[in-house]
Amino acid sequence: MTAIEFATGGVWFMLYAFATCLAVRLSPDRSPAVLVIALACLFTLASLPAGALAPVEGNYWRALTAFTFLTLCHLIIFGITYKSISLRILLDLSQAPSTRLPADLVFSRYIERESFAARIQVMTTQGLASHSLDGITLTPKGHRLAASAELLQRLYDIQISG
Amino acid sequence: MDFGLPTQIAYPAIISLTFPFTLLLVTRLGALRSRNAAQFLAAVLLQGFVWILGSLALPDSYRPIHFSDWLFTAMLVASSFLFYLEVWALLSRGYTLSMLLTLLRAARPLSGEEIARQYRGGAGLDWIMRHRVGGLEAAGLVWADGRQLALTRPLGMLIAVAYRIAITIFGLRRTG
Repeated sequence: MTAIEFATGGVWFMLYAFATCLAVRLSPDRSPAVLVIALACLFTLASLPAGALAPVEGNYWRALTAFTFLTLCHLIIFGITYKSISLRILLDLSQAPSTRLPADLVFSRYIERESFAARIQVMTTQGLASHSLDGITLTPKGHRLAASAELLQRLYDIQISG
Repeated sequence: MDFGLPTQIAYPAIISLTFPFTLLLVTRLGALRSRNAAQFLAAVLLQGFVWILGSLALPDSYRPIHFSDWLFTAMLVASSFLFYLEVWALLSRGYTLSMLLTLLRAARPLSGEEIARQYRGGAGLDWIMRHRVGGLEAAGLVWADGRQLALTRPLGMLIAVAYRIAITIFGLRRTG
């Protein structure tokens, strides 16, 4: 991979990163996770015509590899920032007076209420679960996803996740 | 740009595609049983070793020769590992996924309280608190002061500040 190829992939990645920041800010009602993944797919597809038009002396696949690597690093950091419970606990502690909080308060305020409720909401808005009079139940889509995950967990001997 | 497929792509592609099988083998090792993070790391090290060894032994047209070729193939292999890491993290640590599995294993619709109680095979939601706080303590980011949790300085505070900066850059309104 030449410096030109890496720079081409890097510039394409910078455009992608800028687009994700913009999209998350401009579409507050849409799931940020869906936005960044959809944009990653879009930029990967758009790299074909962009590569054909770009006046760059280099190999497309090498530049695409640089873009893919940087994008996956970005997605990992984004995923951790967006959904990490551990980091959220650290943030809450950093904002508390004298940077300490009762453990029970962290649990009840954040894990038991806020985070749990957010997950239930994600499950329903993504069409994976639905509310009924008897309680919450999986939709066919949620059932398929959960059954596939359970199959993979059995295959890889993952005892219980969470 | 030149759209010709570099021949050096073949071996990293094989390494990437066979990674799930290496991971499957590693999960069968008794010493690493139930240690999901260690299993993934061991599979990455093993597959990385096979990649380097193979890259040195392949015919010239298929192996990386210059530094730029090594960089290209290393990025390709690393990209596949990052992809598998995302999937592995979801399967072994996914909070929402675990809630879906709780609903899957229940014979009837569950209330929010029942999901919380039956979470992780009956361990309940407070398992998450114990698990995550245990991890933070082991990493030296928090310490338990009686019934209180306290942030360590400077490490815990540094990570919290970096996290706040990342939230601002990504433009996230809600996290966790």
